[in-house]
Amino acid sequence: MAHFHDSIRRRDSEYKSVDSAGALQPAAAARSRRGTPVMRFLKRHWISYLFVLPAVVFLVGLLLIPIVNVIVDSFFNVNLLRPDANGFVGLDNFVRAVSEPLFWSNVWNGVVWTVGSVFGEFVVGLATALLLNQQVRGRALFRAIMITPWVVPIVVAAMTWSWILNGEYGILNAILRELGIISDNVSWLGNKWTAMLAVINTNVWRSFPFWTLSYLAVLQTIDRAELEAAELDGANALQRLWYIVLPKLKGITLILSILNVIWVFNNFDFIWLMTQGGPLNATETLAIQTYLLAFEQYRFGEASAVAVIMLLMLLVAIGLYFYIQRRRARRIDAYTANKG
Amino acid sequence: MTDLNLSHVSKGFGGTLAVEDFCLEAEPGEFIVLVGPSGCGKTTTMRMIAGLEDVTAGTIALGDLDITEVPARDRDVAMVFQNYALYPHMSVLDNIAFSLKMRGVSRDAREHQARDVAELLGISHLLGRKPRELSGGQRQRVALGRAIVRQPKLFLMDEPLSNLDAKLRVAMRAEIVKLQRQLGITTVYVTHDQVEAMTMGHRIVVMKDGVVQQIGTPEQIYDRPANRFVAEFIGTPPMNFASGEWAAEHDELRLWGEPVPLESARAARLRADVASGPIELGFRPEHVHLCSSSSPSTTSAIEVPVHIELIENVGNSRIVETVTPSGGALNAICASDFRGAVGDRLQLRVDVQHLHVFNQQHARVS
Repeated sequence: MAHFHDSIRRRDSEYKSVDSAGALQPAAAARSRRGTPVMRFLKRHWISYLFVLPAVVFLVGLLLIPIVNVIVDSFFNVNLLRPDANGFVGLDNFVRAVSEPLFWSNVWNGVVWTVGSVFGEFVVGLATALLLNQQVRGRALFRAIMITPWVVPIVVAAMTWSWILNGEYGILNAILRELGIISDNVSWLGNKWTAMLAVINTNVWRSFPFWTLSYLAVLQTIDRAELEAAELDGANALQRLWYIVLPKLKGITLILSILNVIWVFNNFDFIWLMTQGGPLNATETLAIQTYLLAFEQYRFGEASAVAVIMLLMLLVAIGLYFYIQRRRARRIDAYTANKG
Repeated sequence: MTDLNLSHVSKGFGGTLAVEDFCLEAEPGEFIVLVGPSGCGKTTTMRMIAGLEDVTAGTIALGDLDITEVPARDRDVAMVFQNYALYPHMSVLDNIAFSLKMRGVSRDAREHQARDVAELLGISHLLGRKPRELSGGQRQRVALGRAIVRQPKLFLMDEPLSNLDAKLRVAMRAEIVKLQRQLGITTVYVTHDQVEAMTMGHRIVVMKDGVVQQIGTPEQIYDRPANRFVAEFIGTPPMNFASGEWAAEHDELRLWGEPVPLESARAARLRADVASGPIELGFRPEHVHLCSSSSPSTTSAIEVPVHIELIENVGNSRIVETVTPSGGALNAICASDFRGAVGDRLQLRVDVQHLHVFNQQHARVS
């Protein structure tokens, strides 16, 4: 503790020795020349580093080491069934993973799964947020109900929807038959063409409340006078939504999209619980492939390679997104500057 | 011909009446100021004119058109909000041109008009900026620009100067008045600041608790306030009040125990309207003279001994707070060469012709 006080006092005195013009006084300048810049910096700030140390330990232990481990493994032959054949193999794992017959179809499935889910969450989340932002009686109750899917555990959501969508005794088929929309039962999860839609639907159902909450939080910060000004300026409800409300949701939409692209692209449990990548690999994604390679075939090296490829794909996608955003912002700035 | 006509307009929220039986006829080009303390219903009245608030009873007409049920966006009414309510994600140009865009005006035409308005307001150099990059006064101008660009039938301004510093407020006050006279568009202006009301309006509507107290020109409001509330609300420092005694049977009005000389016409009015008993008398601080007790008294004035409690130097004059022996506080506005000091005992003299008499219901009688 004495050290702590010392360091604070020392800092204090250094601040004091800076005169009103901001120039270092000779005494302070002489002191600051002692030791290398790094040493001086640490000497002055060691207490701050002590405070962030626990967080750093956790991050390194739980995130950095596993990631590095996966990246290293992807260059080695790590096969639990053939421990004798371990060793550095260069890019072999990557070559083998990419030439797997299902690899590219898994990439495509992952894109459909991700884009479909995130888009669905966006649409449902925005619509519900706009509805819940209306002045209606019992709004608090509606809000509480709307959040429910989010507190349902994924495994429960997946099981419940598997029953609803079941081809033999599912309630969806019963309702659609009752309404005369279908005449024969459809095996939603067993059909190559509907399985992906079915898992996306479940994911959207479970995840949209996060979007709703985020949008609602922003919607509630909107100044009512701004909407009234637009109304007096002659904007109808749709124009107010388009010109005043939606522009305010841009920032949060960007953040939600990036977060959810990462979450959904890497998601494993929904698909695994509902279809295990079937039927006929119609819902198999790279995440499923990684799991199958690692825990069913014990080919950890190749599994790591697929995981690293997933990481790279996400980095490229997000980097591209930011690049486009930045370029667009610059273009708009240039445009308005020209106009002004 | 009237331009804006509010006829028996009332507004209720739940069980309470925010505005009660509001009637007003404004002529084309007139500048009407709604003034009153907060919660008096002035902003609600304005919002009803704008169409942002439903009318519980009564009708609102603009020109020959009954607009009571017309939605806000079809009323052709422009409003300047207290916090400006600029669109933060749009440039100044787009803010000003927004209403034209909503009306389907072509891009070239609306930019042209917006530039004209910007020139008028001296903000041409700001057109490319976003509202957050502007100072308070500049935002105020953009808000004005947004209102005038489409030449509406009616301007509504809801305390537009309250977010500006004192100096800028005075400058913008004059500018808004000039602009309004130049454009000739009927304007309803809401404020709680009586100085704004007096300096800006052709006519002033004084409100309290949802009820109109008086409608009149600044001179009428100041010189012949309808009741005690108006008399107290308009004018700084406010009007002084003292209790008097009225005896109808003798035509005798007494203030501070002394008989007040009455003209016959005034006596007749008091006889007709006021029952005998205690009544309130009011007089403005500028109609008060402070003099030493030795100076001779006049027949047309009435005096009370006071001592000075506080002297405020406002530069061009002194506001002197005095207290009578019975504890009543009375203010006087004295010339800047006033030589009194706190604690001095003086005579406070009021000219009888400047006395306002209020009856027991606080209404002004004469």
